[in-house]
Amino acid sequence: MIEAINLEKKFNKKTALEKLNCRIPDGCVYGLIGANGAGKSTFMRLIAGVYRPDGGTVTLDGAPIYNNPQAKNQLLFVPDDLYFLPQANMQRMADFYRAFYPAFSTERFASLTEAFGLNPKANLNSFSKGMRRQAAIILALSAMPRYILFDETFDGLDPVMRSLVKRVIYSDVEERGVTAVISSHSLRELEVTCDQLALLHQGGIVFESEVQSLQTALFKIQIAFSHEFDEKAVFHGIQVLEITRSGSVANAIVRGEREQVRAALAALSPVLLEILPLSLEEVFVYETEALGYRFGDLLQ
Amino acid sequence: MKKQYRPTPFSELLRRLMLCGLVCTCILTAVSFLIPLISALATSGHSPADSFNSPTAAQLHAILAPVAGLTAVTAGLALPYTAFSWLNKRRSSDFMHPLPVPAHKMFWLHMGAVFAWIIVIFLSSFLAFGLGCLLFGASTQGFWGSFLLQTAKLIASAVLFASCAAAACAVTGTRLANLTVTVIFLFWPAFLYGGFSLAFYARAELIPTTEATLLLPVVHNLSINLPGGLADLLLGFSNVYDSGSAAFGWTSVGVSLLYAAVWVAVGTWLYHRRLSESAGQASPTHLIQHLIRCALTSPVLLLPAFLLAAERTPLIEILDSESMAALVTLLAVTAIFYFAYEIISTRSFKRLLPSAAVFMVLPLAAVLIGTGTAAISDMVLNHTPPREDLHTVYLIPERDQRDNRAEYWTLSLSRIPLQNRELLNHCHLALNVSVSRVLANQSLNQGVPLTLSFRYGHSSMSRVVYFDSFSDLYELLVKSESALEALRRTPSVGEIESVSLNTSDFILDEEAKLAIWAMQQKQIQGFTATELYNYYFTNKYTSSNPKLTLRGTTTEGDVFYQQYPLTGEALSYYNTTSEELTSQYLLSLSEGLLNGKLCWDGYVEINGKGFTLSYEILYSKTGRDEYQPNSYSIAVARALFNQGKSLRRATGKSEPHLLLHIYHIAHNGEDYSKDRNMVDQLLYLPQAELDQLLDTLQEKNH
Repeated sequence: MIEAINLEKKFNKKTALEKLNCRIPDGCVYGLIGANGAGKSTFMRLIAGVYRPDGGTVTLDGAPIYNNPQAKNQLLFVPDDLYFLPQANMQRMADFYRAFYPAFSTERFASLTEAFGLNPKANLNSFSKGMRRQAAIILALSAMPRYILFDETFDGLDPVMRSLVKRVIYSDVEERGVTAVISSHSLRELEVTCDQLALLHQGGIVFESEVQSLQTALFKIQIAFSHEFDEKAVFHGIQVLEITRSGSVANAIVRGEREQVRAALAALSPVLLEILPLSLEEVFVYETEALGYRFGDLLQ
Repeated sequence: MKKQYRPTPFSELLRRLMLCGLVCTCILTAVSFLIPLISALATSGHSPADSFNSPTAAQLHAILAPVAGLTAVTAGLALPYTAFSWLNKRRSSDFMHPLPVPAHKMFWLHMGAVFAWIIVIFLSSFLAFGLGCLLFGASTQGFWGSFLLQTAKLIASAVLFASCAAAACAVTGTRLANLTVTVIFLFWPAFLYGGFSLAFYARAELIPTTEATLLLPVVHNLSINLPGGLADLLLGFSNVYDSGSAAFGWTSVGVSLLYAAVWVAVGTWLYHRRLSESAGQASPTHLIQHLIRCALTSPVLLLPAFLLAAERTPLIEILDSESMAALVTLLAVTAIFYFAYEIISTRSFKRLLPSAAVFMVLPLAAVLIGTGTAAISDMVLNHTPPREDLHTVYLIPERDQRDNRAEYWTLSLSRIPLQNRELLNHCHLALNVSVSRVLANQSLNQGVPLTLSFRYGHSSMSRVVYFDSFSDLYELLVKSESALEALRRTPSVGEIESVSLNTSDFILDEEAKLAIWAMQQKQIQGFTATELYNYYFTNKYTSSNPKLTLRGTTTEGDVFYQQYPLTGEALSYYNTTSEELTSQYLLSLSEGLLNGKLCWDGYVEINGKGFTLSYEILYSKTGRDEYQPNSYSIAVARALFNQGKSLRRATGKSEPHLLLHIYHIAHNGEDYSKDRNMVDQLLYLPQAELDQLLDTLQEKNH
């Protein structure tokens, strides 16, 4: 498990992370969402052992990561700005990884290269941006780390490749108990990928939850009656985050146990009762606004 | 099943440096092999005389040395810069920093790869050049030892450069800052140390540099050795061949490697402390940026500070309007360098104001360092032992800076404790007078300097003491029987390694020279104190008598030299023997020339007894178009060449003149100097008349 406690990082006088606390459990896909400059990449680099924390700790299974080869051996960082050795091809890069990561699997490298249709002998400089990302992902996955950090890695991939990468990651998560940490500023990207999500803002985690519980705990209700009604009275006893009315139909964003809410409202004999799921973005809007933030500010 | 090759981090880092390392290796190896090859091609098909004159391996290496020196500098910088180039970019830094290797091990892996390539480069060159010399016939006699030393020096120099460059990379994050800090690491400590030493010793004139307990011995003085080594490196090690000095030998290799080890340790620590976010920044913190900027520009102000500290003349007398203008100019130059570096390295004007505040530290530091140096120097000089505590004085031999040799009599006398009360009074007084004169800025030129070690209580100190008269001191000195015996002591046969004469050296063999020495030695051992004084300390014999020079190692292990003028029986024996032998040699030479058995070639100079004669290497005609070097001629050439004289081609016109000289001296027994007019007449005779005279002489000979 990766754990950050009161983690701080400053660049000269600018604070990038301030008292950040986070727990990333093993065997999950963990998403980090936030606007540019929120501290996602800084947090990733602290986890990867690139940066030395100015305060607090970041540990892997209780051991500090910075300058700790045992911890670093278990994780691999794929940064947003990719780097390859000068004039290298994928095979040369694989040799380099093999030299440093004893668990590197040549068989996996070969099978993934074939699956992605990349030529391991071709110079990486001749690859397109997307192909270079694929190459970096293949190399990282072939190193067989327990923790793998993707910093906005999927942004340059086409949908087909993105899907293929995700399948490989899922199988690693399921079969080998790998933990993947993915950062992005696109909520839609993470919505379908991650088990858990954390929202970073101004160097701290504003909000952290499991995606599934987020999506099930909040939902939208459309209700209408054949007679005039007071919507506040209708939703009495139910935790409503927002309520609007459009003609005879009332729309409410509700938190709670879905079936219990349905039963309670059905007892009032409405002519229309519909429970609609919320998109993750909508859930984030309501959850963060409930915490006193304006969602638009968080993801700008 | 075939075992799959698994690369290691070290092998991968070696691979990363392959391009840079291979380019350096290929260029230097090719040049190393081509030099003997081209030389062999250039001399093949020429006359036998030319092939005799073909360059030796040592001479060929003098051509290779500047290329090798330049490669040492280039590889020493390019390899670490390439190895650590990833520290200067964020994306490469993001790639390398998460690798599961501890920081210190990562630094050492990089350094190991750099050092391995340096060794490959110079070992390849060593093998290629050695093989080339062996294959193409360049003479390697006595060459391998110095060649090995030079290769070691090149490796040590490149390793030193690489270590400084790596330490610089560990603290900076841009190429310009890498280079700047490398220069600072390489030269700034040496500059500071050198400037301090210069000012300290120049101001405290009486403290001998070799005996100073305050500073390191000269041979380990990095400020002297490092720039000396660099100059040596760039000039092609020309002095390695004729210098036995430890400072230019294996000691400098050891010192350079030690210095490199210090920088590797510093680099490891800096790399361990390095913040990865420094990538792309001139320095990781503002404080370090200030330090770099100040260190880079400080020499402009520190140099005049040291020069002023070395001077005893009061500042008020030195600082006239002209020197004040010079100081203001220097301050302006410093400011330009200072702010230019800030703007160029940060590519921003944002930090100019804070850096302007720090700029004031520079003149302040220069004043403090200058006055501090002067104060330390005066304090050390002022410290003299009280007379009542002084119990013994020893003479310290003056040694040659290059080969550490001292005169035999000084070594002999230096082992005698001088405890005569009058002598101690005399030395103590001379010391105090010398110190007072230096402090009062009075001239010491009138005195006779001697370096003495003063023992007082359980302490000792060495000073150069100026005596008004050496004879007064000598009288007190020889009152001690042991001191007189020490002056009479001369090198025994077992201590002598070489014996040479300043005239007709090649004519007499070793045995004859030792026989002459035995006669002279016997005389010295019977000298009275006055005779010894005349023999060693006046120019009564040294001005005109032939001199025998002995070199060797004393039984106590000190290397020595001593020149002994020949007197009495030794002189008579020498005169008779050398005259006879010279006459014989010249006669056979002239006859060989005149009857056509010998012919002229390479130029050689003979210094005979009472004459100086130039002639060329002679070849005997052994058949039609076949020549063989004359053995006597070769022996002379070798004797001269071994003493470091060079061979060169002479113009054809000088040949008849030379022939006449030899003939004239051989047949008439007159020497060059005594019949200068006749020789001049011959030298300036028109060519036709010379030819006629030559024919006449040849007919006469037949």
